[in-house]
Order: sequence, then structure tokens, then C-alpha cells
Amino acid sequence: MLRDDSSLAEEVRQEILECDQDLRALEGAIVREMIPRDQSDDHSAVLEVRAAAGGTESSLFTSEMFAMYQKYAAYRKWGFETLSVSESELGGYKQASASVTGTGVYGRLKYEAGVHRVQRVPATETHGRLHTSTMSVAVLPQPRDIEVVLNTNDIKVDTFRAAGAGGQHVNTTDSAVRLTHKPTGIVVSIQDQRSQHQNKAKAMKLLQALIYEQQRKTAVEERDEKRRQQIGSGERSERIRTYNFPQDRVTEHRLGVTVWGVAGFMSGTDSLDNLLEQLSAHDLQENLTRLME
Amino acid sequence: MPSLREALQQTHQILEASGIPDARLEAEVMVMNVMRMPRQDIFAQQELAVSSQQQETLSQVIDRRKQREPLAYILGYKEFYGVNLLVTPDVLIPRPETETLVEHALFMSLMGMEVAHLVIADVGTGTGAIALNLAIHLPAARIYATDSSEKALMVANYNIRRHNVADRVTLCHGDLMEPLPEPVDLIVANLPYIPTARIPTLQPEIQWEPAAALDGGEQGMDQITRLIAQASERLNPQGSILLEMDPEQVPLAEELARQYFPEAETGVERDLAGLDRVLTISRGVAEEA
Repeated sequence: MLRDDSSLAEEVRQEILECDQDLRALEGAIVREMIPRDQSDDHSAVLEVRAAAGGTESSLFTSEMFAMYQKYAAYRKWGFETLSVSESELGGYKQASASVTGTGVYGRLKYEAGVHRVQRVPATETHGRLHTSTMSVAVLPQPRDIEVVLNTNDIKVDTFRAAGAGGQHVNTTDSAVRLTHKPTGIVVSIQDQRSQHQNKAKAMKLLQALIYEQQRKTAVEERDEKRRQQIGSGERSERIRTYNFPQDRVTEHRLGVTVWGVAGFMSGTDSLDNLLEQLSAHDLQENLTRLME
Repeated sequence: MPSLREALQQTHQILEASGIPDARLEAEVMVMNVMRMPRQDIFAQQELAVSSQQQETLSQVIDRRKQREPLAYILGYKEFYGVNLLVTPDVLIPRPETETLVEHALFMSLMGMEVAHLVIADVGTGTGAIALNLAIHLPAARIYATDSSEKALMVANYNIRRHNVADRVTLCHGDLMEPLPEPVDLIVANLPYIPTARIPTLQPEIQWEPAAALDGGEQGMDQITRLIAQASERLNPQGSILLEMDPEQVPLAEELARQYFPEAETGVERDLAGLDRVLTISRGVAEEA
């Protein structure tokens, strides 16, 4: 029995529509696949916060930023293991670093690299004047073991023990380990209450990350100059964000976006996550555009 | 109520004023234990309020530490080779250098020796640190752990049960290797090796540790010498001995090894500080027929 012509035509029209949609989706997928992605996006990362020279405000803000990232890691269910903390005598941190582990950590945290600026009336300020201070964040991808093969002959290991017999002669809480990578001169030290065995393992991971970063930098320098200007290139001197406490807002300079609620932002949950999502989307867009050119 | 940040700073200052080395690190460890939080949370929770009960506990910890009581005894545990061990004043607090001994024992076991039915003796086991870690990383090994102190064995017993290796680690009470029921393939030992007269000159924390776990006699070599003398009959033909000691004791110990094990190969392993730390005596590469 022959079907009605008009219903057949309708079916065909439907099918064409669906094929069209599939085609567009596939085209989109092809283009996305062609975008050069940072291979390290999947990796874990090493995060470092550093206060600007001089000023209690900067070191206090640095410790608050470290706290924010620790909370964000917890929010994202990532591992967060402190590698080093260098306290400032007046409170806060001069420097601190952590190993943040999980899938896609680097791809997210890389947008935090750069200089963060804080504007507020410090606790110590008697005349209610607004102060501006800065701190910087560096984010390094943690390479998989296979990507950075370390030759044990290249690594000098030592502890911080003063001269002496060691062993049963000494009883201390710390079992610090220092690794020096002779070919590059990179030095890494971990001081912790954990066993020396664990500290050495941590130090190795950090060393791997630093060597990997050096390798990457060399590779990037050999590439297109323009690529270095893109978001997430991790240029340390780039001022990326301002936290204004009296006005209760955070301004992301790369996007020209304002987020309201500084405390909420620094709680390291939805607010920060949303902004990183926006930065990621923007980055993708930029890459797409560049691809089209 | 003070914040965690304030408690940390205060603790740091008090410890530093009392001459405690690594004051900042110790302050962090104390606070993290009293507040029952992992170390990284200390950074995230700087504004957390410290309850009066926690303040009281922290205060007690600080007071004890000011007497130079080792932190490990106050907190009741010490991490060794990645594993938390119970420690009490009846045992020596494990040292990082002994991790070199463990590493090398594992290396030798996995590389050269007949792994399947490895029988090991940890002589003078103390907390059980060495025996326990070997048991964890050598699932097929049977291990005897001896100690002359019953109280120490109670601590070792807790640790091996806590880490689920009690079925493969047998504790034996007695002098050195006397209580062993059979010959073994591998002997590992961190025996007391400090010269008697030197002990009172060491840091205050060490004065709290059991003298029997440190005292090696006049040159610090008494226990090691006795062990090497006993070992010959109790070591299987292809077996090895690993002994922790001080760098200056190595030449003497090597001489003893040559005396009692003329056919064996000896070697010295360094610790992470680059000092000679572990003497190895390897019997029998099988002779050519």
C-alpha cells in the first residue's frame, strides 16, 4: 500500500533537519578538536603564592589567598598537600606552595597565575586609609612521571643536619630533605614533620614539576610570540585581578568582569569556580578565533 | 577565644623562647594534633576559634615540651617510612636514618634474594618499625622481631596489629638472636650504638629515651659485636646482614665481619646526609662447583 505523499515529504524534511543538526554538531566538534590545547590541562599542579616585598598587608593577603585555594581544592574534591610555608615575622606568609592533585587541576588553576591586588583598610591602619598591596601566584603543571625522567645521578640529595654523626645521636621533629638537580641548578627543599621518606617523595614531585616547567618555557619561547599573550600563559608580572574590600567586589581585569562579594569569592566555592569557568570559556573562544584567522 | 592563627603564633613564640629547635614546625604539629586537623587545614582555617578545652590541652602539650620531652612521646606517635607508629617512653623514637636500612633491605630482598620464602630477623625491634615496613612491602616474607625489653615488645605488638601484619611478624623476647626458632635469610638490626659516656652529652630530648636502646658500651660497639659473633650459625648460606651504625664505627665492624664471615662480601650504604650508615654483609655467592 502506498503511503500518503505529503506525510512522506514531511518525514524526509524531518530527516534533513536532523542530519543538518548532526552535521553542525560534528563540524563544531571537529573545530574544537583542532584547537591546540595545552596538553597539561589534565594534570595536577603545583601552586605557589608569594608576597610582594615589604609590607605586612601583602603577606597577610598572601596567607588569605593560600587559604582560599585550599578551600577551593576541597570544594573541587582535589588533593591539597602543603609543600612549603615561609612565615613573615609580622604575620602572614612570605611564600607558600602546595601540590594540588586531581584531574584537570592545571587546566583550571592556570588562570590564577599572575599578580593579585588587594585594596582595603588594614587592621593596623589608624586613620582609615585605603591601602593597595599585591601578591603573586604561580601555577606549574605536575608532569606525569614518564614526561620527566629524572636521572638519579643528576640529583644531589642532602638533609639540613648540622655536621655530626646523626642517627641515634639526634632526635628532631623535622626530617627536611633538599634536592639539587645538577644539570639545571634547580634546588628544592621540603621541611615537614612527616618521615624523611615522604619528604623525599614530595621533593621529587616538586622537582619534576619545576623541571617540566622549564622545559615547557623553552618550548613556548620557540613558538609564536602572540601565544604568550594569551590568558593562562602564566606570566608572573601580569596583573590579573583586584580585590576591593570596602566596595565588596572582585574585578577580573582580563575579562573586564566584576564579581560582587569578596568574602564569598574568597571562600573558594561557587563564586571563584564560576569565574574560572568564564575564563576557561573565554580562552576557548580566543583559541577558536585564532584558529580561524 | 583566640583564633587558630593566634594560637599558632603564641605557641611558636613560646617554643622558640624555650630554645626548642624547629619551633615553627613543632607549633604547627602541636596545633594540628590538638585541633585534630590535617596540616593543610591549618592554613585554610586560620580564623577558626580554639575552644577553651583545646587551649588547655595545647597548654599541657607546650608545658611538657618546655621540659624538652620529645614531641613524639607527647603526641604518642611518630611517622616512619610513611607509616604512623605508636611510641612510648619504653622505646627509641625511630630516626630517619633507619629508613635507609629499610630501603636497602627491600632493595636486596626484591633484587637478589629468593623472595618466595624469605625469612627475616629484625633484632632489637623496639617499635617494630623495621619489621613492620618489611612485612608491608614483602607480602611473602616471614619476620621474627626480637627485643630484650618486654615493654618495647608491647609497643611493637600494637604496631604490627594496627598495620595488619601480625600474622607474618612473630615477636620474640630475649637477648639479640637467642630466641630465634630457626635460621634466617636476612638479619636487619638497628642496635644501640652510642658510646655510654656520650649519652649524657646529647640533646635533652634524648635523655628521655630508654638508655638501653642507645647504650652500645664503651665504644658503642658492644651489641653490634655480639650480633656479628652470633650471626654466623643463624644465617642461611646465601643470607645477608644489614646493620645500622655510626660512620666512625664502620671500619671496626668491617673488620669483625671479615673475621666471622671470611667468605662474605661487605659494603656500606650512605644515608641521605651522605654519611656511612648501613653495613651490609652478604654471604655466598654460591661457589663454582
